[in-house]
Formats: sequence, structure tokens, C-alpha cells
Amino acid sequence: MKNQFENWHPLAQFVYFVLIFGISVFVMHPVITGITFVSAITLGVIIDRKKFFKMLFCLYIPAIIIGIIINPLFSHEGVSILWYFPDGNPLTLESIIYGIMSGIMIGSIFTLFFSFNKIMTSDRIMYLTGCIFPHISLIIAMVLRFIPEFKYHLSEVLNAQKCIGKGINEKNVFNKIKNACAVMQIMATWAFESSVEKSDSMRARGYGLYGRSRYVPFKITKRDIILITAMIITGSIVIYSLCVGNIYVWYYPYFKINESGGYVYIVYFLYAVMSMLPVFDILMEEAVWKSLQSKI
Amino acid sequence: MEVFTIENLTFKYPQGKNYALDNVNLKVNKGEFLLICGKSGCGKTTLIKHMKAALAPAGEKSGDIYYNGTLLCDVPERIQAQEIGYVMQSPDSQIVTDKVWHELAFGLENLGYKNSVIRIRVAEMASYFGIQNWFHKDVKELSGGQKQILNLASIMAVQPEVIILDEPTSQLCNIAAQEFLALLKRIHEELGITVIIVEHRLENVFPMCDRVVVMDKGKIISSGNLQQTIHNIKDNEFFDAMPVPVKICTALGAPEYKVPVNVNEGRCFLEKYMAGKNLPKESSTHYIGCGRDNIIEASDVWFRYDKDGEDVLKGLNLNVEKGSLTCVLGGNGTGKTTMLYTLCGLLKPYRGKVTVKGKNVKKWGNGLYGKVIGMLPQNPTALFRRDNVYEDISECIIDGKNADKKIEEISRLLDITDILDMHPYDLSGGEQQRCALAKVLLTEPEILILDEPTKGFDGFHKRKLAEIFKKLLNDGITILMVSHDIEFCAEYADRCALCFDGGITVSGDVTEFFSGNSFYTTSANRMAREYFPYAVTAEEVKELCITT
Repeated sequence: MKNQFENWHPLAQFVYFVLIFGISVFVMHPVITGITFVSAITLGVIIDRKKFFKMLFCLYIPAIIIGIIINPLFSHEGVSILWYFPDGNPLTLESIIYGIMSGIMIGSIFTLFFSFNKIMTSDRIMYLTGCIFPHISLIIAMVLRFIPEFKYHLSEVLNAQKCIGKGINEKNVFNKIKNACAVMQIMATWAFESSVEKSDSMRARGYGLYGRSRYVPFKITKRDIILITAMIITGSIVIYSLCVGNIYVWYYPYFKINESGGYVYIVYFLYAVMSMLPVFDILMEEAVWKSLQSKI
Repeated sequence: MEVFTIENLTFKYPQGKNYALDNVNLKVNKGEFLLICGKSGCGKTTLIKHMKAALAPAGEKSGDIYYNGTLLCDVPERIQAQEIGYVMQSPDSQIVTDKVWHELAFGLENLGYKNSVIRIRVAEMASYFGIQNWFHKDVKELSGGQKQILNLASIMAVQPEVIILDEPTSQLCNIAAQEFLALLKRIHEELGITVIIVEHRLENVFPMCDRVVVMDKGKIISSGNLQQTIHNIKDNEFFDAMPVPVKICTALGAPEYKVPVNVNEGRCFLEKYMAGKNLPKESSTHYIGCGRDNIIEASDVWFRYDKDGEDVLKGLNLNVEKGSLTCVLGGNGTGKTTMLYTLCGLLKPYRGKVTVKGKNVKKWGNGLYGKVIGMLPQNPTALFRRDNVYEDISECIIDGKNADKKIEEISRLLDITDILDMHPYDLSGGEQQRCALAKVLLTEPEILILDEPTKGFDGFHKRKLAEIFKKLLNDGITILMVSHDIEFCAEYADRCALCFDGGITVSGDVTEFFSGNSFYTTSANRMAREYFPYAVTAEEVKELCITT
């Protein structure tokens, strides 16, 4: 199903991911990381529920568990000692908290990456790289075209060779190597030939003429501009308060977090809004759609 | 006014022995639909490549080519890129980028159009060619026919004056080819664009063109409208490649310069011809199964590529009798190639059983390939391993005795003697196909499995191929082929089967099979079915008409 987040302009999506990745990688504050975690999971669930849960159980939860177990085993800093390992090293409360937090952080980065992969399709990434390096974007496009072609042809060659009795799964090692080399040679020749033909096709269509332009299939709308501005403003406020030290956290030697107050709550709130922006957008669109449906 | 004027063009490839083009003179008028045809390797592709400076091959060249009155080499590249569009043979290798929309925009980007212009043009092209449904797709997801339509559309996006097409439908199935040609016709009629097309499959394209140029050994042997062409080449061996209605009606003595060129005209002609004659009693020569053993048996085979994907084969049942020529017909994407791979054991079905010579394919292992089964893949280049044809095919000989003799025999049989010392990649599509076939035949398999063997063949070589088949069948070899080429199958197969939706829908002996279908049948049958419902080949119709 198409969701509203996919319809954002690539630039808006890019700003979102840069901000949220940046903040979640550099900051390990219980509230901030918690907000990131919740919004990352919600986003993942909305984008592709089935795949997400598969990934969640196979990858993210193990990562979190490993983070929680490993840190206290190797880090013995902290003042609140709970227990002594047999080798005499202490198990501290601080190291457990730190382990939990880092596990959650890694988990949310994975989760965000999942959404990133789903949303930032190749043409979007190409558009973004093309903004900075126009020539590279065409090369990427050609590589993305070449890889599936190569794979397909390779399977074709392997099957064809096998069927005339020259497959690479023969028992005789000498023949096996010989046939594998031949397949490699065929693929090299093929790649060369097909790129010659491709370059013919490019030249025939005027590639290399002076003043090449770049077609962008995305249109930036007012909505995108509003979204980008909103994200940049909230993002800057959050980053500013993190830098200045209004929001901080210590894990060692003892756990200490910034005092809460009106200002801090506002920053938390702003960050929550920012990180949930795509989720809000998707849900709002669904709600509007439903209400329009029910009116009919 | 002439768009192209070619004067005394002579050309020789650096390694070639003969002249690829020999003193060619040709004028192409504005707004013309020009068909260039000829036997495989006659220089037709070489000729049209010279019409675009960026593609002109290197070699010895003399003579002049003018574009709109200016020497082509003096026409700026920008103008050439803009005004002369060129569509190549292979749908795949001319696509540059990975997305459909990007491919459409590629030519316009090169010419430096502004974003707003490109947006309009791309939208226009997508709507005109019916691409909007797959506009955002990856190129790799498209079918062959869609790819070729995309190629045409992306050439048309820059609004050329002339489009040159090099066998654009040779890799497509019949239905997709017709769709493509219909689009081409529409472009020509609605936009007045000059079309120069090279083809060897004339059935569909011949009736729609204004002028036909026939080439042989680098020379133009005939040039004129349809009727003149029919008249000119009546005694040439290339006449075999003409559409079936032309062949039948000429044999029946259609008046000169009024020969029917399509099925409809052919039917009208037959109506007049048959008026007042007594029809023979309906008779069909049923193929009596000789009670031969089945050499390949597939029963209830199910297969899919991905666990979550769709089934490609859905309960396929097929029996291939020993020593018979069995043809499987069907459109693109009906699972024909998958079926062949499954029968060879290259793909493992998740349900059902395939046996070869009474032994389950799974238990055969590697002993199956080479001596028992030899397969010619759809893409012949997948077989070539060496730098020249001779070395390449001699690699396949199993026992060294009489190797030279065998090679000589097979190359004579397949008409590749002249090209034995060339690089396989330098050959034309039809030549590559024949060399690949030579390789497979030299492994001396008991069962020959062929995936589209007649692709890129002209009438002459098809007849040659049929002779080879006959010889092999006499030697007791079983042939199973998958093809789009209805006419070929009708003429030479023992049994035919129609593959549809992952299964075999109909199967039977040739006459039974084709006379039962009304669309998916040969043109000869479509033309004459009122009178001779059981006649499927041009020869049969001809004979029956004359004898009644």
C-alpha cells in the first residue's frame, strides 16, 4: 500500500532521516532515545508490517539483548555495585542501564534503516546525489541497470553450459575449473559486448553533446516546503538544547539526568513531534480518507 | 523530397573477405515507410548503420550519403541525435538506465532540454504509447515486448524526422511483434515520420509498407512498391520469405501487380478462385501415434521461482514421443522456457514428476547433459566460449576421431562454412543461432531441446533447418522445441502443444491442432479454412486448390 510518507519530496525525506539519524546516533538520552525508538517502530510497522516484524524478531531484538548482556560483562564502571562476578569484577547498575540504553539505540537505528530502505528508493537517492554530482547519478543508474542484466545472463550461461555437458558442477575438479573459467570468460566478453552496444545506443541518442540537462521527476510542493521548514526549526531547537547542556545525561560514575522543567518538556515535545511527523502524516491521511468515504 | 540519398556506397569490414555493401544506390523519400529485407547476412543492417554517423561501422568505405541534401558527416551531431532515431535489435542492450521514466527522458536530457519541457514530452510519450501503467517500474520487470515499445517511445520523445529500426521484432513473440508494428504504423500515419525498417519476418510488416528494398550479397536486387517487389523477386530464392498469401496466390496464378498481400485479400481471391468448384469431402489425415514410447514424461508438474511468488507451471502434463518432433507454442510469459528448464532438470518442481527415458530427472545427475539431452538456449551467445567459431564448435566434439570431417559436415549443413574463422560476437543474429545449433548438434544428444531455434532465421535457413531436423529424426533423435513461429511448426512438426497459463492447454497432431484454433493458427489456414479446414501450410493449400 502506498503511504503518504512515500509521496514526500526526496529532499524532505532526506532532511527527516538526516535529523533523526544524527540525533539518535550521537545522543543516548533516555527520553530522546525512547522517543526515537517508539517513533521508529511505529513508522516501521506502518510502512511494511509483515516484513518489519520478521526483521524485528530476527535482527533487532537479538541486537538489543546482546547490547544488554554484553555491556555489563565488559564494563565495570559505576558506583552502585549489585554483585561480584566470580573473577572479582563488579556488576554495576550503571553498566546495566548503559547496556539497555545502547541496545535500544542500536535497535532504533536498525529500525530507522529499515524504513530508510523502503522509502528512499534508488531513484530518490539518485536524485539527491545528482543534486551534488550530476554525472555520478547517471553512472549509478547504469550500474543499477547492469547488475540485474548481468545476473540474468549469468544464470542463462550456467544453464546453457550445463546443458551441453560443460557445467560447473562436474565431479572432475580439472573440468570443473576449466568450465568455471570458461563461464567467467563468456561473462567478460558479454559484458564488454553489451557495453559496446549500450554506448552505441547512448551516442545515437546524443549522449556526450554539450549542455546535458537533468530531468527530475519530483516536484517540490508548498507542503514539502512547510514540512522541511518545520523539521529544521524543531530539529535546531532540539540540537541547540543538547549542545548547550539543557538536556544531558551521565551514566558513569553514577546515573544523572537533567532536571525536568517547563523548557525541557517543550523540547521533548518538539522532538516527539518531529520524529513522529511521517507517522502523523500517514495516519492523518488515512483518517481523512476514511471520513471522506463515510460521507459518501 | 529525399531524406536520405545514398550514392555508390561500398563498404568492407576490416576482416571481411567480401564487400558487405557493394555499390549501393538508394533514395529514401520523406514520409515513406521503407522496408529493407534480404537473406541473413546480406548487409541490410550494415546499410542502415551507415545512415547514422554515430553508429557507422569502421572499415573501408567509399561513396556518399546525404541527409536532406547535406553530406551526412557534415550534419552536426546534435541534429543527427535529434532528427534520426535508431532502434536496435536487442530490446535489452539499448536500454541505458534502470527506470522507465528515466529511459524516456534520457535522449531529452542529452539534448539539454529544460525540466518543464522534458516533463511534458515524457508525459506525452507515456500516454501515446500506453506506458502510464508501468511508468514507475524498473526496466528489469518489463517483458521483451514492453522493452521494445519503451525503446521506440524513448526515441520518439526527441521528436525525430526519421526512425530507423533494425529487426525490432525479431526477439518478440508474434502477438507482441504485431502490437509493436501497429504502433509503428500509427506513428507513421499520424505523425508523418519517415520509417526505415529492416526485417526478415515479413508476414506482418510487408503489407504495411510503401516500398520494399531487397538486398542480396551487399547489393540491392529489387526496389519498388509491394507489387513490383513481388514481380521482381518471383524467381529468386528469397521469394520463400514472402507472406503466405502472396506465395499461395502467386502459385494459383493471381494476376501480376494485383497479388493479394494479406489474409483478407487472400480470402477474397480464394473466393473468386474457388467459385463453382466442387469441394472435396472433408478429410483429415490423422496422425496415428506409432505407439512409440514416451521419452520424456511430465505429469502434474508445479513450479514457482519464489516461495511467495506466483506459480509459473500449474499442473503441466506433457509427453514427448521418441523420435518425434514436438513443438510447444505459446505467447511470451506463459512459462515455455520454464517448462523446458524443468524438463531438463535445471529447475526442480515442487510437485509432480519428470522422467527422461523412464528415469526420474532428479536421479540422472550430470550424466543427463550432453549425451542424453542437448539444449539450445534462447540466447545463443550464452554458449560461445572461444574467440572463433571453428575452435568454439570443435570443443563440443566428444571423441576426436573424424573431428575435422564432422565439423565440415555440420558447417556445410548449417551453412556456416564461410564464417568459421570469425568471432562469434561479430556474427548476425541468425548466424549466431546457427553456430550455437552446430555446437549442440556436435554433442550428439539423443534428445534435442530447442528454445526458439528459428529466431533470426529467414525462409531459406528455416528450410535448411527443417532438412536437418528430418535427418536427425531419421536417426532416431527426439526433438522438442518451443517456438513462436507458427508457420514453421505447422509445416514440420509431428505434434503441437499450446502452452498457456502454466500448463499445456491443447496438444495433438499438427492438423488437428491448427484446424481447431481460429486465431492461433497459420495464415494459410486462416485464409483457406472455409474451403479446406484441415490444410495448415501454404503447400497444402496450394496443392488442394490446384487439384480441386
